[in-house]
Amino acid sequence: MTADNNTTVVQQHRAFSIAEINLPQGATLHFSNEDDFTHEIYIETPQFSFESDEQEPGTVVNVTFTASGHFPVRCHIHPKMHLDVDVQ
Amino acid sequence: MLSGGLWSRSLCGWRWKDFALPALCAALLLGTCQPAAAQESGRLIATQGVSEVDGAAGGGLAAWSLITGYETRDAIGGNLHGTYISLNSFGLGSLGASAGFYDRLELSYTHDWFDTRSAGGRLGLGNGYLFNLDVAGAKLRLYGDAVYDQDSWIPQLSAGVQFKAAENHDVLKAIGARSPDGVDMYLAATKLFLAESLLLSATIRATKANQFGILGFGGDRNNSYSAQFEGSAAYLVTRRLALGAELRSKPDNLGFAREGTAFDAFAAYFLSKTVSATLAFVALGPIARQGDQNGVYLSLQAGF
Amino acid sequence: MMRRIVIATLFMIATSRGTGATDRLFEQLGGQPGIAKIASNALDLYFTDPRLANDFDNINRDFLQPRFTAYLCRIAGGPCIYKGHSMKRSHKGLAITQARFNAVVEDLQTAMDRAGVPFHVQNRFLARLAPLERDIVTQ
Repeated sequence: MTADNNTTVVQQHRAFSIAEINLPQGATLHFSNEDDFTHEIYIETPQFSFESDEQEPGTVVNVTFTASGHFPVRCHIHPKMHLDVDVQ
Repeated sequence: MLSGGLWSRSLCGWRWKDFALPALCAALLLGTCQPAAAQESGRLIATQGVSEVDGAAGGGLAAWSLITGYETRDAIGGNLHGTYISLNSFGLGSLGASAGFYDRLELSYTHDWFDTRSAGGRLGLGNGYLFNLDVAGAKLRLYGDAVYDQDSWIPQLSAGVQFKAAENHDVLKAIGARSPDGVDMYLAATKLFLAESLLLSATIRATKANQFGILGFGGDRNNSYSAQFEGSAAYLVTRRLALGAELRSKPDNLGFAREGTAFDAFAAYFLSKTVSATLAFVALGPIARQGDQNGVYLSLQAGF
Repeated sequence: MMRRIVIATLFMIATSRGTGATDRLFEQLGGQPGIAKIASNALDLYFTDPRLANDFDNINRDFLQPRFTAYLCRIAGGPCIYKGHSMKRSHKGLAITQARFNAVVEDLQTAMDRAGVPFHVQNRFLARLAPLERDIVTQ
């Protein structure tokens, strides 16, 4: 899925609403927790790392991707949550 | 001479007990045909009791408010039991099956036989004369959960009914029983006091049964319903072993043969969720003019 | 009117059986190390129990273990602070059935067996946990 500069990804049923996404450099993803559970997303790569605090249901975490590359987004609490982000 | 209408409950030649056993077997088969996930035996071990003499889930003598089987409210469970009681002058056997539906409804069928042994000769019936009794029961859980409601004093409450039919009509008539058939109704309250490892149960039963129904219903001394009490106390010694005692009061309707309250002290061992065995010493009071009947009770249960 | 007040009071007393927080249960479970061992043993079982495969396949044990331990400690009457969500809130959305709740209790019994907790002490602890069925089982 190719998206524009601002896209919302929903966290629900302990999963991301999409499994993969292509983004232009500088785009922002809005992670909206519409789940019953607290999440804690993170990215850990040499080009770019990100740690959110505990994200309560009903809150949004914004992540801006300035570097290009392949960035897997994971959740510290729910290991099966996967979102693969590819930035041009 | 009592009319045929009083002594036979036929419906176009069939009796209800002709339906009871096949219906119960069908219900149990239905239970065993569930998908594998539902067969995972959802309840904790020793949380179904055993089968009392009339076939309901309970202790050996008392009916409890627990619903038979090891399944939760989402599935169907069942139980088979075989019991033998050896008394001074008699033998009492019981074989039955019960099914528990969604931890809400219990249906049971039991056949009891009463072997008079040499007392049969003394009573003019012939040695080894057998009395037979069929019991079809239904129990409905009304309120509460004996296991989960540990933060409340309110017990699990159930109401039950047992349709009983004795054979040996001529002999029962001769000893003064007013009917070979009868209906017992009861209200049971059971609670597991987990912090004390103690289970307590109390039941009130409206009945006309003579010796649980084996000697018919009603009699020359009394032919109306009386309120009887049955109670159990069981201490969980280990996860698999419970020790307890029970009592069950009975009416005294027949002038021919007095009867009194029955007592037992038992040990129930739960080998697994499928098999349990109960050994008890019983004192059933006087039966058929042969004096106080005391003896040993052994029961095997297979459940799921 | 008086009769209604008496009945309401009796009902309130009947439904509020206490749990005796000052009865040395925490000590008899082995204190902090005992509870930690019980929690760890239980999680070992939960993560490998085929009956619970769908419940523990998407939760990070490192996240769960300290919270589970703190919760058990607090229920046992220990001096722990549990900062997580209520049982109702943290299990909402997982569609827990009675059968799976009972499997968790059974595994906890095994965990306590392995930690050497006597049967009757286990039952006193389980008596405090049993009422959670109402909050945790939603299916």
